[in-house]
Amino acid sequence: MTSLLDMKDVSKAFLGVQVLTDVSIRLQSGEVLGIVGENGAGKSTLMKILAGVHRPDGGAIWIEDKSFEPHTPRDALAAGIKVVHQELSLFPDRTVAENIFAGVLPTTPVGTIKRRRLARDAAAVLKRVGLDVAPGTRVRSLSLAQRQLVEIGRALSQKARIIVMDEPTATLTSHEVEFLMSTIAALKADGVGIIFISHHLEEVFAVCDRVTVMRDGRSVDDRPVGAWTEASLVQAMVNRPIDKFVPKRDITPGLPLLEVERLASRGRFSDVSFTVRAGEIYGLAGLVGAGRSEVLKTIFGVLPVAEGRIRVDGADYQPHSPRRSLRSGIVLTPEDRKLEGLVLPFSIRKNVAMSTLKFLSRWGIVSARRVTGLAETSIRSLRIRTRSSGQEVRRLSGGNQQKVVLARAISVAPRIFMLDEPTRGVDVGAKVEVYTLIGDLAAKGAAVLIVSSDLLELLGLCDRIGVLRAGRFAGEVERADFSQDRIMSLAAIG
Amino acid sequence: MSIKETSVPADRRSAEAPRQKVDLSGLTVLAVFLAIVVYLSLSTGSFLSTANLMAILVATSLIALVACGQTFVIITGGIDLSSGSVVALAGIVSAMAMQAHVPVALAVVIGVLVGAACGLFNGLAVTMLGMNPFIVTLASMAMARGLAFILPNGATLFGFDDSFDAIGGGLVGFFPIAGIVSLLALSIGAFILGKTVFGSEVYAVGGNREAALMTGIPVRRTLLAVYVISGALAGLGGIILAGRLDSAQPIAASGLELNAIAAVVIGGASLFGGRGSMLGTILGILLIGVINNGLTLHNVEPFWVQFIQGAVIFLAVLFDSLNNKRKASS
Repeated sequence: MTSLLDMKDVSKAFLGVQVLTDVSIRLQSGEVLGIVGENGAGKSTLMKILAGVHRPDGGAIWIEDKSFEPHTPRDALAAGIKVVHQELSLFPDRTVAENIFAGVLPTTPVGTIKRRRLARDAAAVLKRVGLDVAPGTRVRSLSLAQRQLVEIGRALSQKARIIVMDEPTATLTSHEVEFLMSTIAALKADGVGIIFISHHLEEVFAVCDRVTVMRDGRSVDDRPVGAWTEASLVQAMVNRPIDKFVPKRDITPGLPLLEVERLASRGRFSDVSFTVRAGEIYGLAGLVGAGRSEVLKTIFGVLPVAEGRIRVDGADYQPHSPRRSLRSGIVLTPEDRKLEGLVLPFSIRKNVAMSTLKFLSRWGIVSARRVTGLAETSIRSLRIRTRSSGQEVRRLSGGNQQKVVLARAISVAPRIFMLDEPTRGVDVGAKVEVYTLIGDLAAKGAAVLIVSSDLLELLGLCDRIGVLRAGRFAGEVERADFSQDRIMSLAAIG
Repeated sequence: MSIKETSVPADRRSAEAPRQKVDLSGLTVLAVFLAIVVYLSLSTGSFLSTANLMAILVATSLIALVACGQTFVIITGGIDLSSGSVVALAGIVSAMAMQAHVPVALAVVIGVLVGAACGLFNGLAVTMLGMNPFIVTLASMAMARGLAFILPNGATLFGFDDSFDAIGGGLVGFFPIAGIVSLLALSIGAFILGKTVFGSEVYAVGGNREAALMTGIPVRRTLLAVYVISGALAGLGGIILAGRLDSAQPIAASGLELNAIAAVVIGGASLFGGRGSMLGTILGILLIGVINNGLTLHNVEPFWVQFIQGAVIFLAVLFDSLNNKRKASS
């Protein structure tokens, strides 16, 4: 049987750094091939070569036994290869339908768009990806998760034969993942080959037929999915055994540090009450759009409080602005690192120092020595992998970027940490480090409030979990009663 | 990766890395500047004469002041199109104050304050009303220009005290006072941008406004400040120009803001914000200054001057974008 796609001994170096060495993968039609590996293992580069963004230094690519040498992304598209990127490439001010058919809009002979046909076709695509919005909706008004489904819809509409899903589920909640899974099943039945790149091993096991592991720019192992276990997969990825993802800890929570009582923000959420004590890790679970991030942003002073009370360390607290919250010892690391967390073209140094410029300066003059000192200390203590503190953060992997955000949060020496999706797009190795770090923060007496779409992460990490459903507080679960079913039923059904 | 391996050389490298980068982006402009200097000193006898160099300094002092303020605004990702009009308005108001027998020192302060007030208007519209800087300053450009005509009834005001004229046209020894003022402004500006908390905040706001807000940087205050700085420096520029010409004209300095913006962009600043430096701006000003001077020395027709200025801006931005593309693909 000839393969749909065969990449053999592909190598690539950038500026003398060998990024890929003799990587080989093979994909049959109607198959889902999982490619897993830590960030920096070379997955993205390999896919960029397939997509015609980069040209390989060595090796060969065949599509159905025909040699394939893409020079531009257009060549790859013409060959039926479509990459759904981690970074979405949608036009926020155009409609869902226009985005799905961008570049191939149905037009009349004079060049105007056939609106009715466009809406009909788009509705069909939306049904296939399980997205329940009108085709005329502006993409701007959709959630991140919904946008991702639009992106996948675009791939479908382009009649791709090989679809690369690069972290397709990084931002989706379990509910939406299910739609995606059924989409994938339908595509398989049509004979499409899918390359599935994900950090969520659970999903890899759920959808993939075969899994190739990449490590340090090489393809190190390839087995049918049944021949892998979660442990053997992780071991192959990091080349060291990881017995526990989440470090165990014993805590005796102290006094309440953050008390939220009947908090509401107009049009976002209402009637949210919970308490986080010193030394405690409190999770907020719920589907995307349930209002979890909004609760954090309201406490932080980004969104307005409509009703309710907040007490910090026993005293009434009126959120005003992030600036004032930071001064009061409350910190928030945002969900979207690139949009709200980091200044990407700036160095690690400058990013880490942003919240503490006042303390790193005298008479308004910033001490370069103290900024560098802070950055070097952070790099060491959080094990940020970089060649220097002058490195631009956009060149760092997701895990290291997240560590920069966390380092800045820690530099403020806050008593209340609010972490929104702290391990999104972070590889397994760095995840464990982030978990350990969060555990340490709590052990030192901080109150930690975490929002995460990774339920296993919350179950492993938290002492208590509050569940939001459609902007309302659906209930709270104690550690002793933790179970996925319990929380999912609160989040989805009630 | 072990920590020992990376942390030791990191100190040395981290100190070098950013400096190297600044040099690289400014290198082309510097090379072009030096090439023009060499060419002009060989092709004309008078280019390197003290008189001519001082003439360049005087000729660029106004644009230098405006570009200095503009650098702050552009690094935040904004733009100030009102500078040229503010120069004219500040000159007119100062002149009217002196005609009303206000002492010269006070008239100078009034001129600067008029500029700062225009900047405050721009800044408040941008921060409190959330309006787009381009549109706000396009509107205030027209309003300030209008006021510069309305207040003196369209007339040119002249006949000032010698001490006022000295600010724009006077010398200390052989050194023009206007040149000293603008060099001072540029140095202070370079210090503020490069070394102070406020300077870091200007870069952060321009680099990623959302992230700046979330990390506790006073975004509104910073934005307000850069527009006030830009306005105040344009006000100071208005006094220098009025002094040099011994007259305040409603149509003075029209289009000046575009030259100033060009100097900032040639100096490597990004109109998207987050990138740029006062040193780059100085290079941009010098480049525009020597080109204009060279064209005059070679008796090039004035119509060509505009064309060549435009071509220089185009080439500078072209090179910058090619440079970015190369960096992005590596």
